[in-house]
Amino acid sequence: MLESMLLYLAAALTLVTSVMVAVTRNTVHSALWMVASCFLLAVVFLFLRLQFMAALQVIIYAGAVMMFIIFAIMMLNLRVNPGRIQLRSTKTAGLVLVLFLFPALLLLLGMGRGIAALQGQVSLRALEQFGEVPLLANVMFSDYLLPFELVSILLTVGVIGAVALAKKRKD
Amino acid sequence: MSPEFILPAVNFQCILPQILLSLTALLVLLVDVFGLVKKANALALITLAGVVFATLTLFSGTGLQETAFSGMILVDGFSFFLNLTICLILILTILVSMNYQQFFPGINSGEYYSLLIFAAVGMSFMAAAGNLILLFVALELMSVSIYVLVGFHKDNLRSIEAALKYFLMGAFATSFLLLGFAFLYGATGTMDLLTMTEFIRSNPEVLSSGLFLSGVLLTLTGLGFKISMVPFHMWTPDVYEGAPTVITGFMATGVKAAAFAALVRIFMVPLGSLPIDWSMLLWVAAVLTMTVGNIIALVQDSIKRMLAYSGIAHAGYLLIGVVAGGELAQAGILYYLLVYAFMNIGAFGVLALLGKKETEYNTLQEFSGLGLKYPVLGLAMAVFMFSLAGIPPTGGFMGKLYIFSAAIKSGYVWLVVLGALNSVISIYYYLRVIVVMYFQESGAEDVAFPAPSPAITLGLGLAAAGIMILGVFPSYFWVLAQNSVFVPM
Repeated sequence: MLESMLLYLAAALTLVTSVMVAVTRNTVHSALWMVASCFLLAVVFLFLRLQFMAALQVIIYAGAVMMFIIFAIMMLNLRVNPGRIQLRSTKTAGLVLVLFLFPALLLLLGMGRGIAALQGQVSLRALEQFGEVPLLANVMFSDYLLPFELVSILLTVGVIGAVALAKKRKD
Repeated sequence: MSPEFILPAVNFQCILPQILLSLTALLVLLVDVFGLVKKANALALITLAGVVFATLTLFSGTGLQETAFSGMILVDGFSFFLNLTICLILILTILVSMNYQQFFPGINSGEYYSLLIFAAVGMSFMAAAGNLILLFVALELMSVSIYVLVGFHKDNLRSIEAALKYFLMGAFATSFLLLGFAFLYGATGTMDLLTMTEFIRSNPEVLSSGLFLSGVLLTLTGLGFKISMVPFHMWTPDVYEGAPTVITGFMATGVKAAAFAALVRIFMVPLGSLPIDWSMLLWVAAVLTMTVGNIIALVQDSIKRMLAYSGIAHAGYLLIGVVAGGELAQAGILYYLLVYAFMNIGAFGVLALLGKKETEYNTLQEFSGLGLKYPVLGLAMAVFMFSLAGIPPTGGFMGKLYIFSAAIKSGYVWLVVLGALNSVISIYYYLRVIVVMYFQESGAEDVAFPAPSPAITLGLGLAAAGIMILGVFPSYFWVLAQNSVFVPM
């Protein structure tokens, strides 16, 4: 009971910090909120018995990726967003839509029962039986081999695209 | 599941075309980086050779009906037909690009051609995916490549704006799609489409669970963005107008083909038994998509922007097929996607034919009088416009006929009536292009001078011939489409 309450607390805080990432005008503050959000997500993973995922989340996202983002902010010198963003009317409309649609979605989610995912491959029992890392590795390199390889192509495309957009014209 | 690792069965044969395409993309990149070939069209020709070779290897997989990579890949007629369509789209786009790069030398680079191919690899994996995870990764591969391609005119603010707009909104829409997939997994306990179909069949009560319905809605949002379904169409005109013309043709046809493949695989088959009010949702979306696209297209001065709105309207016609459901409608969608590839790339190809260094021409005035000055060009444009409007004896007519008749068979008479009314509206703005080209004095003398090369002659000829064959002798491809529908094994 206490555990699930802490889980919900961590999830809610993740949500709050993520919203702060989006609404903060100072880019460095925004990046720091993102670090907080990544850490809290790792806490959520811990409560879901995924220690390995939590460690990866902290090392890769809160550590490495965020460092890159902060470096990028420093190099491009994007500290504070100077002008006010003129999106008043759209903002109100968006707020109304969010206030209406989000509860609607939550209500819909509460309707009926059907959590069949508990029977999936990464169940609590399988986690206890084999351990998290062997289980994940097994699934990733056998059943999910093809998407795993396709991700490598996706990363290649990301690099090619970044170079194509950033490099100077030949002539 | 056993704790020790079991080497998975890897069947390279069934993804051979995609492997060959990826290798071609890497080869083109290397050839460009090391400057191995100096001739102007060399990169495009290498790309073309690789793509044609990969297309030929597609045919080795005909008639198979199996799964590979533990259910990730569905090797069936549906994959074959769509892969063929995607390869044709790629070939036509390369042919058109070879002419277009005279005006925009920036296009003639390894990055451009490799991104083009990688986008097509993503599309073809989307068409063949039997698992939501693979579908998602393939969709991202396609999208990321296209975000960059849209912004390839780096000196043009419209192009940069289009790329940024598409990227931000696309990333937002993709997050909806991912959340939708997560909910679908939560409700059914599987990412595998065939297992999911089986699960829904044996547990019909899942269809009314909130988790499942949220998953359906969010997935529809994500895919609806990609096909520019109303109300997720706002990005389409700006992005289509800002992107390089050849890329606009590529994304209008290719992304639509891949996203409709996903819609058919997820919505028409496993969710075929959804309660009636959910297909009403798609019904409304189809009508809105057709009507909004057609009405706004009426008042456009830029042909490129007009074609963007017409692309929205065509997504609406295709949605009629999704609403209708059943194998006949699936075959109609496949046939329509093939015809649409020919006629849309053809129309954008004619637009891309006119240009000057670093400038595109695409307003109606700039096309005035061109039909008489360049009879072949005028004739080709007339064929594409007639086909887009759905006038017999072109392929566009047959495509609409197949989709509409499938919808009537499923009892959606009013939907078809609205679709037919929309087609009538669309005739106005398609024919306006032809009227301007033939019956108006050419305005500015220096504006347009077509610079045809053998490549674009071949490309446009192929597209026009394809439209006429699909319109006059539809039976071969119609039978092929009917044999290519997706039925869970």
